Amino acid sequence: MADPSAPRSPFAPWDRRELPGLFTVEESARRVGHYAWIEMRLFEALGGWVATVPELDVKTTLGRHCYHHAWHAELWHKRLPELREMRPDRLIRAPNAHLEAFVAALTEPEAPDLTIEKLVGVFRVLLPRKIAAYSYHLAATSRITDAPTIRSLGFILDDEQTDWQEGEMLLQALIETDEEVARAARRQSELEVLITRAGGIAGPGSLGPSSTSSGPTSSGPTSQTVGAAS
Amino acid sequence: MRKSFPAEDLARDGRFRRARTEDRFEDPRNEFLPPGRRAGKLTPDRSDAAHAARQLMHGIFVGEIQALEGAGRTVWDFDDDEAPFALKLDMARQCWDEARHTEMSVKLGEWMGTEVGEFAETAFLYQAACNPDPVLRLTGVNRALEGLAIDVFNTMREFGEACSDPVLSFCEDWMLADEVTHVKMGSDWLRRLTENDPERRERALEFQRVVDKLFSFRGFRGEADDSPIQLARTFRRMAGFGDTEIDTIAADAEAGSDPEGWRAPVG
Amino acid sequence: MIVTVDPPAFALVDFDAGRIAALAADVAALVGVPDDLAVGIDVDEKNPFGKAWALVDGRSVTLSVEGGAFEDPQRLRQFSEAGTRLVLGRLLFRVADRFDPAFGDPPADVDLTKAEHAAWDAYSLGRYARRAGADGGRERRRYAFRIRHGFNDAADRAFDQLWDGSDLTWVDLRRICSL
Repeated sequence: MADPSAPRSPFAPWDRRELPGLFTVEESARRVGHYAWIEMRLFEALGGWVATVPELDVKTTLGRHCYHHAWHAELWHKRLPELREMRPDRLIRAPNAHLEAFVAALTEPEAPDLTIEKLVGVFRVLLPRKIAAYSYHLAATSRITDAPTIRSLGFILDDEQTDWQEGEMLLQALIETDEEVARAARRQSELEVLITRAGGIAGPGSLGPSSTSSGPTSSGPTSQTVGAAS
Repeated sequence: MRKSFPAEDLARDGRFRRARTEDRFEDPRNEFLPPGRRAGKLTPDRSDAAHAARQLMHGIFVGEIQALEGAGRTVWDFDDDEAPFALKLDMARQCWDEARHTEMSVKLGEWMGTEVGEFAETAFLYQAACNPDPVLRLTGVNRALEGLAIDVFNTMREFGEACSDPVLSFCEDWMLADEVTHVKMGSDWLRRLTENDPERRERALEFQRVVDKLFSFRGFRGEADDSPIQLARTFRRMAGFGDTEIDTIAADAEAGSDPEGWRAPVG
Repeated sequence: MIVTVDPPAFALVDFDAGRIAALAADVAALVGVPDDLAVGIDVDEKNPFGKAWALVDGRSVTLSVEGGAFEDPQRLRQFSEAGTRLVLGRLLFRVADRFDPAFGDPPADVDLTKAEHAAWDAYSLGRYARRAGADGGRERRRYAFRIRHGFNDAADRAFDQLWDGSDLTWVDLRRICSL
C-alpha cells in the first residue's frame, strides 16, 4: 500500500475533467428554467392524451413517460434555487413565443384516430430536440463547477433516449400504409417549422452559437456563453 | 386538446364494449334481489369462484385503465394556479403506477384465461375523476376510488392465497402497496389544499361519501359476510383513514342495499 | 327429443324461449343425448348470476339456469348464443355420460366434490369444443381446474388429459385427478 502520508491530487490520474465551461451561473439557470418549462408542458400533454388514445400499448406508454418528464421537471425545479434563482417561477417559461406556438400545435390533436400525429410530435420532433439540447449542455458546461446539472442531465438523457427509442418503435408499428407515412411526414414537417423558428427548446443557442459563427467560445446569438475558466 | 374530457369519449379499441352506468344501476332485475342477496364473499368455496374472480379481475383491469386516464386528466386539465406543481407531480407518478397496474392486470387476466374486453365496461370510476374542482376530484379518485382499490386488491390477494395461486397473490400484494400510497397522497392533498377552507373540505368529503356509497351499491363492498368485496380495515388505516371514517363507509355500505340511494357521482 | 323452456316468454331479459329450445336440441344432437329424453330448461331470469346445473330423473332432465349464464357478458340483459351453447354443451355432455353405461356410475351431482365437478366440466367442455369446432375457453377452464386441483404441473397435466380426452370413464376421471 502507498504511503498514507504521501500527497495525492484530489483528481485521480484518469480524471481528465477541467474547469472551463461555456455557461455562467445565470446562463445555466436560464436554460434550466426553459428545460423545466418544456418538461412540464410535455408531461401534462402526455397525461391528457392517455384518455384519448385507443391503443392499449400507447396508453400505458404515455402513462409511464408522463412520469418520466414530470420527474425531469422536478429535477430542474430543484436545480434552479441552487443556481441562485430564488424565484424559480421567474425563469420557468418558454424562451420565446415561437416555442409556445410549437407547444400549442403539439398538444392540439385529441381525436382517437390521431395517435400518429400525437406520437410524431413527441417522438420525432420534440424528444430529438430535447436530446440535442441536453447533450449540448452536457458537452458545454463545466464538468467541475456544474456537476449537479451534469448528474441530472445524465439521468434525464438516459430516460429521453430510452423513451425516444420506445416511441419511435411504437410509431413504426402504427404506420402501415403510404397514407400513414405521408401523415407522419406532414405532421413532422409542420412541427419542425415551428420548433426551428423557436430555435430549439431553450431558444436560439439551444445547440450553442449558430453554425455561421466561428466556434463555441465566441459570442453566440444569446451573447451569454462565456469562457468560465478561472 | 380540450380541458375536461367526458367519460363517453374515453378511447378504446374494438374489443371493448361500454355499458351505461345507469343501465347497471337501473337493471330491473335489481328489484328482485332482496337486500342482502349478494353473490357472496369471493372465496374458493364459491362454486362460481373462478368465473367470479375472472370477472372481478377484468373489472380491475378496466378500473386501472380509467384510474390511469383520470390521473392523466388531472395533470392536463388544471392550470398551475388551480393545481400546484407538486400535486401534478404526484398525479404523474400515479399515471405510471396505474399504467403498471394496467399491465399487471392484463397479464393476470391472461393467467386466468380472460380476454381483453370479455366483460362490459362501465365508466363510473372515471366519472369520479371528472369533477371540475381539483380538490373534489382528488378526493373522489384518491380516497374513494383508490380506497375501493385497497378493498378489492386485498380481497383478490386473500383469494389468491386461499386457493394457493402464487401469481395472483404476488401481484395483488404489489398493487395493494401502490394503492395505499395513492390514498395517502389524496389525504395529504385534501388537507393541504383545504387548510384554510373548511367549507371546501366538507364538500370534498361529502363528494367522497357519495362516490363511496356508489362503490358499495347493494352491498358489493362492505363488511357483511356475503359482500363480494370486503372492507380492508387494516390497509385503510395504513393509508391514513381514521376509524370513524371507515365506520362511516361500513355503515353506508350496509345501508347501501337500497337501490334508490344512488345518484350520479359527477358534481 | 322434446325440449321445453320455462318461462315461455321473458320480461326482464332479452331472451327468446324458442331460440333457447332450438339451441338445446341442436347441442343435444351434437353431444349425443338419447332421443327419448325430455329436457326441461328452467331459466331464472330474475337472477343475474351464472350458475347452471342438471338434474336427471328417470328419462327426464331438468336444466336449472340462473339467467346470467345465458347472458352476453358484454351486453347487459342480452342473450349470448355462443355462451349458451357452451353452458348447454357442458351440461348435456354430463347428462349423456350419465346415460352411457360405459361411463360408469358417478354419484349424484349434489354428492360430487367441487374438484370432481371441475374435472367433469373440463372433460365435457373439451369434447364439446372439439365436436362443435368452437372455442371452449380452454384457459378459462384451466384456471377453474387449478383452483380445485392446485397450481402445479401435475394438475395442468391432468387438465390437459381431461380436455383432450375421449371415451373416458368416471373411474378414469378420478384416476387422472388422483381424487
